[in-house]
Amino acid sequence: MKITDLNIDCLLRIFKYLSERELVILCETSNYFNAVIEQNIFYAMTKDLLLCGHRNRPSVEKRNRIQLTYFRRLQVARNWLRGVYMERHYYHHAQMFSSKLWLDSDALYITHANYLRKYRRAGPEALQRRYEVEITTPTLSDISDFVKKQDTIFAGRVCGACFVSDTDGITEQAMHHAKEYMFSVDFVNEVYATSTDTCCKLWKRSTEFGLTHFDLFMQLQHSFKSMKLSDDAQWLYGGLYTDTGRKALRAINVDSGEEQVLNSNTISIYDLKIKDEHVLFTANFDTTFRMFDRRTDRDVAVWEDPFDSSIYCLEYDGLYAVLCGAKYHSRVNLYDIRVPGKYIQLYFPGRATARQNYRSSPVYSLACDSQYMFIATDHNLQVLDFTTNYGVQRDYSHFHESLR
Amino acid sequence: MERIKLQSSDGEIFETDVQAAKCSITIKTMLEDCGLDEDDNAVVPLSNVSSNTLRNVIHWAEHHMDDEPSLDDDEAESLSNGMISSWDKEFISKVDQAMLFQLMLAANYLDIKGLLELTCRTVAKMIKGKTSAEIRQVFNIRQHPFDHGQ
Repeated sequence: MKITDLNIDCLLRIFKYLSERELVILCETSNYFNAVIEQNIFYAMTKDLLLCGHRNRPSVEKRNRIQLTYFRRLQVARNWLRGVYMERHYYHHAQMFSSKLWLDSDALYITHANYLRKYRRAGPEALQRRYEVEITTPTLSDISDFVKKQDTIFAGRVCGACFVSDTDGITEQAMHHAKEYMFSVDFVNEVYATSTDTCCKLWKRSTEFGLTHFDLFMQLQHSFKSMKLSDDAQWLYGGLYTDTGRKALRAINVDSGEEQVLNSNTISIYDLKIKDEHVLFTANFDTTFRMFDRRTDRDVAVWEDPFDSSIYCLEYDGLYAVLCGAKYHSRVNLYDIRVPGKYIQLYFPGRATARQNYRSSPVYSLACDSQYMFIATDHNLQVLDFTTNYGVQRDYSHFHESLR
Repeated sequence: MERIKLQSSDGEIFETDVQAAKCSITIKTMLEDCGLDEDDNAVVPLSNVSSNTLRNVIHWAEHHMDDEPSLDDDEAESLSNGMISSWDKEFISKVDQAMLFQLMLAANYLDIKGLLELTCRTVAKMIKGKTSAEIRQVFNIRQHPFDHGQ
């Protein structure tokens, strides 16, 4: 009779008396213990962690390169909370550009000027230094926004031309007048949406004789800075670039064209994310990050930026963590949507190394998985790597209290 | 005082106090549900417990039969609060490792909270403050090629 012959019930009773450190040591002694502790103890401890939680398989899991063990989740989530990370810079470019990012489990897509590049996530580093493919058309106009779903990429250029790229190839079509300025694009199934500084258009995509073309079926006199189609393509949620009535958040029924002015007290929305069928996140000009609930038709929570900068972009882990990119100092704030009124951690990348004039770059776009955060600034891509325990600790979680 | 007969897995029959036997919630419910209380010659078969183990269990139970019965888990834990009585200490120091685990399984099967807690605590103490190599040695765990992490 050996300790490994005990049943799980008995083992768990023993483990109750052990500290986490002792459990970790025990994990190293045998595969059996490791499995029992992982599946029964660390599993439960890590369910609701910020960025590393696994309850109901949150969306961040789809962006993870590998499945993390539960103990690993515990470690990495602590690094996020304590601000322990390694910082790396990629793709430096002298010319300023507001890049957009899209993260998949195997690749990062990033725009620069008139092209879109795919960088593989392989090897020891977070990203490869050389791009794998360049997805673009001959049009020399900056790409202002793009979306990727499954194998389809839809990108909008400043000049109003948009291209769609999938397994069949790449098709470009002029969707707006060249005098307009493209803000945002999105698509779900066959419904495509484009928005410029003057109007917003909805398109049906159809394919005939192997050729793709878009038919306009709705035009709105709105200029959405950011917009998202709901998963069932029933609703288009848009954030106006300016609304003097301070009701910039709108919902539009894609079938009927009916418009709802949502009761969120904001003058301008820079980024918008759909949490679920009822709840929307918005990044606002008025220095706030808001969580809006359609059921009660109001902002259920509003977080103000501690340094009074506008919020440019958002990233959401699918559970409780929201990352907000600020307008200055390449700063990213981490929020827990269960904790009202305060931030959890602040990340200031690139302060030690970058040149003076690079320091106050906005965060144009933000992407993360459980272990890495990708921050598009005006001169490069900063990658914060939370996997290592020997990273430098930059803990600003109590910074604001200490000022008072 | 009422007596009861318990039969171990290898057929040996032990006689003990009903009160002591009722330390085990399993036996207690068995007696109550089957109405064995009245029948003096009843033998309770315990097919999962060997005679050596059962001897030790009975020894422990006879000492503890007058204890406050059946607190729930949290209460028991907060009350005893890491303290092991000197009698228990001596009792547990006399059994070897294999018997310790047998006792734990028996206590688990028979649902004897006090004994289960005592044995678990003892094993936890053996683990505490050791390196993985030392733990392997103490419990004679064969080393597996083990990749920690991913």
